[in-house]
Amino acid sequence: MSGPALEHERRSTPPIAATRSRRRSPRTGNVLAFVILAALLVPWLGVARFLLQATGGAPLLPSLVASLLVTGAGLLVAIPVAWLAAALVFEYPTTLAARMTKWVVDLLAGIPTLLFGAVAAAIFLRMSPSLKSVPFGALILAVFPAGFSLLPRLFRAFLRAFARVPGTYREAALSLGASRAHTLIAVVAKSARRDLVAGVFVAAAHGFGELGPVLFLGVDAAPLPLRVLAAGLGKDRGAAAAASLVLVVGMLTFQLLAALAQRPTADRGGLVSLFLEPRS
Amino acid sequence: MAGEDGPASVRGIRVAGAGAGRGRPSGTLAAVGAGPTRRAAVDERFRYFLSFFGPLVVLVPFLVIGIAVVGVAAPSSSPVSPLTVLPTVAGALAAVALAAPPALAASAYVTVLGPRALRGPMARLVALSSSVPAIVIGAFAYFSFAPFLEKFFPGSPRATIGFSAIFALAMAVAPTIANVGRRLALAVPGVRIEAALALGATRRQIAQRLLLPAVGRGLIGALLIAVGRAAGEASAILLLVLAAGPTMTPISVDAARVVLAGGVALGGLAHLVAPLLVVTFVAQTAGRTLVEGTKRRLAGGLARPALPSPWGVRP
Repeated sequence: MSGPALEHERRSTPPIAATRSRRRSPRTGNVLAFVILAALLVPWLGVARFLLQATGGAPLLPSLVASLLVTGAGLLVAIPVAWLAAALVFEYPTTLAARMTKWVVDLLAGIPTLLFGAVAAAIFLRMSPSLKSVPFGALILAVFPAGFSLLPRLFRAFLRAFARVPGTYREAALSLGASRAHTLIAVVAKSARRDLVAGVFVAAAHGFGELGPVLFLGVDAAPLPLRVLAAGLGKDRGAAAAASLVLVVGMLTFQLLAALAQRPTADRGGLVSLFLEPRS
Repeated sequence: MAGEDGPASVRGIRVAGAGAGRGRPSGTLAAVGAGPTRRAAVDERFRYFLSFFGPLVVLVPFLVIGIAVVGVAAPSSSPVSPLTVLPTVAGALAAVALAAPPALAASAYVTVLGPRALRGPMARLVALSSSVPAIVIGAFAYFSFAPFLEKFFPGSPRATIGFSAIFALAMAVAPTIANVGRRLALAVPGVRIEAALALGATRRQIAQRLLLPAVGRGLIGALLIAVGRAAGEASAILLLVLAAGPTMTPISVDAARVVLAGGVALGGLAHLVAPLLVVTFVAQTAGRTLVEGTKRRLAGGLARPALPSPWGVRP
């Protein structure tokens, strides 16, 4: 019996079991972690309190519509590009094109979204300065920056959705004689359909409230993030809280839709998954 | 799994089977494949198609960076000074330093430390908080947090604004740190955790002595990613800094101010943001490399980074 004990004494770090008797209390770590976690969550209570101070201000429906239009059109631009990129990286991960694509999407995720808006403004407004005065002209301008800022998130969501399809489906399709194109489109993408849709909704939830892509439209423009900014610059607390509240509710709605769209597994799916661990 | 050998072996089987040509009766199989030769041609074309249109996304950042480079090369009245990076980097580092302890504790809590019933909802909450628009955080910091902080720093608005801005940035990047940390913790093989449990480890010991050393460098990667994001984040601090007037401001806010003023001259803007692009690019690339490398190492060098890693039995 003394052999192992002596060996423990010689080691600089004792094995885990040896320290059991020395620890303070089994709950200390738990309590500490919970306190720190609470420190992370408590500021959001402050945000909630701020949101509930919403009063007055101009009607927000046109702003909501404008924000939805920009996000929707941005998604229309970004989804095909992100799908093709994800398909390439999933199907031919070792090729130069796939590696380059993956590297660039990661790079894209790091570029501040403000720059996309600035570049779009500089290019399009130079070409046609009157575009901003046309109805919806400004929104058309915002579509490309919004789409670009959505791209990395969509790409990763699509790639994860493809990867979640069991590999046996692919093997079965290929062994039945289907081509790779047929396998990807009719088997993998079809099985991943719900996760793909969920990814789109999650991207929409993130893109819906982004200020960067629409900032160049100016403080007077319609989209919701700009209304928050305008109210803030005008020191109008109630209006800022109102626009923020609409933004947060919209974000939560998109997240809810994403949770509903997610592919259910044996033990979870639908609304219940809202209260379980997120899978992506 | 999706390597080059899959279809080749399939093709071999098909060639070996007699009657793989056109004379088959029509059925599911006949509809799916039209013979090995044609299938190979289809696959070839599919590959070319994806390889051509997949990297379309490449054009976007190169456009942005190219314009930035052209802008820097163009003559301008204000020369680029490396010193302009200082407030940006200092602010980002301070925000990450403030956000890291609770965020990392949260990722340990939602993976091993917390009671089972709380882990899922907590992880969901942390993930949700990452999609709260940054401008909402900015408005909260401007209207609620800064007046609250003013009580502690009476008579020094600059300190109030500085601390509020750092706090807002920390709120914006904390979910990122927590999410990356959680993914890293989930990448630790379940077998190791089972082994630790068998040795009699408590959950805290698993977090402290198994997860922490296992993800080691990956955590630095998570913090670097957060630094990159904090440096580029303008919306969370825009209101605070714009209200404070022209002082030592981060580049992202300067750029936002230029864009808001409407006179977007690409040359001038590129001049302004080129150092910012360098900072975010270096931080994000280094961070991602560390995180992906750690995940690959934990998976035994086999799994592709996109695959969700398998957990065995959870403690």
